Amino acid sequence: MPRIIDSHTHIWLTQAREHRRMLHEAVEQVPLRAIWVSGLKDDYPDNATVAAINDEVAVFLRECSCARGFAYLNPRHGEAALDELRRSIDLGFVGVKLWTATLADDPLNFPIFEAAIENSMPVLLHTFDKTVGQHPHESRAHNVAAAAERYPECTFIMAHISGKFIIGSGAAQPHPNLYVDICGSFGERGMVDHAVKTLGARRVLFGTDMPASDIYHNLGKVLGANLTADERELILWKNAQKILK
Amino acid sequence: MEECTKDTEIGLGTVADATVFVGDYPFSGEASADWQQTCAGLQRAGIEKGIVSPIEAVFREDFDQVESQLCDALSNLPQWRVFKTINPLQPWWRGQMRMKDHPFAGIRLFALYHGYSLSSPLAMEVFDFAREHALPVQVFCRMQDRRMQYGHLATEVSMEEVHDVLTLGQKGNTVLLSGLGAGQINQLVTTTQVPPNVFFDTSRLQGAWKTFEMLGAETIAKHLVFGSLWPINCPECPLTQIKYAKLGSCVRDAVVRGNFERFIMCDLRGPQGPAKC
Repeated sequence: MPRIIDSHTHIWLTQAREHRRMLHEAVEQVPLRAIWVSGLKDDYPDNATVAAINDEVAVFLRECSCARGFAYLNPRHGEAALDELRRSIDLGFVGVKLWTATLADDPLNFPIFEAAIENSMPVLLHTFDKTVGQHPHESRAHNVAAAAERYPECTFIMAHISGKFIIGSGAAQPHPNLYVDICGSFGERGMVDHAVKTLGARRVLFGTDMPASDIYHNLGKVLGANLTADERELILWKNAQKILK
Repeated sequence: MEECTKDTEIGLGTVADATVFVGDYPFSGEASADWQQTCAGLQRAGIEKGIVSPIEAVFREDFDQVESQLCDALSNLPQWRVFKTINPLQPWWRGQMRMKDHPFAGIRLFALYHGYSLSSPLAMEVFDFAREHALPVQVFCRMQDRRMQYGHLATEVSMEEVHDVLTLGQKGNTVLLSGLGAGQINQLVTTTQVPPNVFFDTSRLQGAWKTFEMLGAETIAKHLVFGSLWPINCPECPLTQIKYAKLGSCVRDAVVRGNFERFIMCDLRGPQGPAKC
C-alpha cells in the first residue's frame, strides 16, 4: 500500500459516533499517514449547529494523532462565523471548510478568506458542476476560480475537481493558489490524467469523501492513471503534506 | 525521464469484464477508446476477456456498420464476446439477431436511453426471444452518474422495473442487471429470492467504506460480476476495491471470473484456447 494522506473526509453530525469509528478504522487498516476531517450537517446550519459540528470533529482530533481538522463555517453568520473560526483554531483546527451555505465567490465569504490568510489556513471549497440536482448555493468551478483570483494569497482546494473534471481543471488552471481534489463516489476514466496534464501533479490532491465514498475506489483513480512514481507520491501525500507544513 | 507506472498492480490475475464498450461516448471528453486502446487499457488492469459492444449502438439509430466492424475485429478473439444492442422499439431487431455471419453471444438493453419500460410488452418480447435462444441479457439500469453526464440526461431504471426483470430469472432468463448501487442490490437480496441466473455488476457499486463487505459474501459469491463500464469509468476503481476487500479467495474469484462464466453460460478460455460453447 502506498503512503496516503486523505485530504477530504467528513463526520456528519447526525452519525458522528459511527463516522468517527469508520475513520479510525480507515486510518488503521489502510493505513493513512494523515487524514483531514471536517464536519457537515445541512445546507444552512444555525450557529449552535455549526459549533456542534466542529465539536464532534474536535473529539476525533483528540482521539487520532494523524487527524487534521478543517473548521466548518456558515458564512451567513457574519461576525459569529469568525468567532467560530477563532474557537476552532483554539480547538486545534488548521483549515476551513465551506459547503453549500453560499457560493464560493459570495462577498459573505470574504472575511473568512481574509481570516484564513491571516492564520495560514487552507480553504476547502465544496464544488460541483452538476447536470442534475444542483443545490441553490452549491458552488460551480467558476465560483471557486473567482474566489481564487480575488485572493491569490489564500490556498484554496476545489473539491471533487468540480464533478466535471475538464471544466474543473480548466477553471483552476490560471490560479496557482488553487488545488483540486479527486474525491467522490464517481470514477470517470481520465480524471487524474487530465488534471495532471492541465494543472501539473503538484496541484492535485488525493481525497475520498469518506464515509460517503470508498477509499479504495478513490485510490483506483490514481493507480489507473499514467503517472510517474514521483507524480503519484505528490498526489497521494506529498502535496497535502506541503500545504499543511 | 522517469518511467511511467504501467505495470498491472492490482494483482487479481486474469479478470473478466462484463461491461465494456468500444467507441466514442458522447458525454465525456475522455471517454472514448477504439479497440486497440481498449485492449491496452484493459490489459494494463489485468482484464483479458469479457463482453463488449459499440457505444455508438446505444446512441445512434443506424449502427449496423459499427457493430459489424466490431464483430469482424473480434472474430479471432473468442475470449471477447460481442453482445447485440437491441432497442425493442425498433421493429426490425429480430431480423438483425438472425444475421448468420455475426452470431451474437447475448443481448444488451438500454431502457435508460431508449425510452421504454422494461416491464412493457415490447421489452418482454426481447426477454422471450432470449429465453428461447438461450441468450443472456444484460440490462443497463444506470451508466454514467447523471450529475456528471455532460449536456444530456438519462432516466434511471426504476426499482419496480428491476424487480420485474429479476422475476424473469425464475422463468429461465439469464440476466445481468448492470449499474445498480450497493444499497439497491442489498434491497433486492433482502426482499426477494434472487434466482441463481440473475447477476449484478460492479460498474456503479461505489458506495461507502467497506462496500463489498456490506454486500455480504453470499451475494458476492453467487451474483456479483466484475464490470468496469470502460471507457467511461476507470477499471482500477472497482478492482482496487475488490483487491482490498476482506473476501475469501473463492469469493474474490467468483467476482472477477467465475460468475462471469456462469452468466455467459460457457467457460471462456484464455487467449490460447478456444471457447467451449
